[in-house]
Amino acid sequence: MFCPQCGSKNDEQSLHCSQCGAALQQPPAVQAPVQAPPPQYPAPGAQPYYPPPQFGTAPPPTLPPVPNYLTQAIMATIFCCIPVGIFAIIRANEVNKKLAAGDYAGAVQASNSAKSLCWWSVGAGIGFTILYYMHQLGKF
Amino acid sequence: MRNSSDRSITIVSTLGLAAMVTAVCFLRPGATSWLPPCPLHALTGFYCPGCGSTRMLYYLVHGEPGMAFRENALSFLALPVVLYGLVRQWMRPNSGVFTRIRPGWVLAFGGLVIAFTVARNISAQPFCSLAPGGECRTALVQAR
Repeated sequence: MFCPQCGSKNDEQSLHCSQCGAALQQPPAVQAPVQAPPPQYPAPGAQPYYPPPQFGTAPPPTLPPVPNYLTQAIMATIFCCIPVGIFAIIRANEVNKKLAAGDYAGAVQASNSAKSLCWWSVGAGIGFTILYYMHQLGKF
Repeated sequence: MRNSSDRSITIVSTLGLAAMVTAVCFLRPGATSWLPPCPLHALTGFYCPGCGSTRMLYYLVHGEPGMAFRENALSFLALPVVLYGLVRQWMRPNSGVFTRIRPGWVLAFGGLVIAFTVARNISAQPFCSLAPGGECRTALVQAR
């Protein structure tokens, strides 16, 4: 092998360069062989040991789809409560944006936010309707 | 947990729409005080994007789509979209409806809603026909 310091040729087994004395051999990197866990003899009455499945054999888990509640957001804007409805549309847009960018966790978060906005708009619509009927009936 | 709350949103929104449709089958908006008016309009005189949608449903149910369109063009055009979305939510409860629409389009729809709201409140001729009934009387902003 050639010395990394001075470039002179040395024996393969030499530890130091014969010309400049620089260290030649790197300690060999410890290569841990990948081993399957050793099979164990189950104790009497214990469950038999099943080695875990190797990576690549099981199909990847499919993520559940993330709803954006855009339908309800449109209904909220048109029938119920315009400010909440516009916010719900904006949140639905965020869900689509995060899904398109591959940010599943962010999409779920935006989806939950959109869902709670839909419930708020339902509450606002019901609340206003009740107030209206009470006013009509002279209770106000 | 996710399934049941998604399902209840679908149920509540369908029931709400069904209640409105049923109500306008029997009641005439404007001729009865049993149908609630738009809160924003009652308080400020401003036309929100939903003003006229009850009347829109009334005309649709009674077979006059032309009058329905004049009451609220946005509701008229959005109604098939909403119906489609609700049907999809019933048929496949946990799928994402409309989630593959490019995000820009959803924001553009929001912008369209806002533009519609602003336009129908301007009392200049091409815009005020978007006000409920296509009438140009009580718009808020007076154009010169």
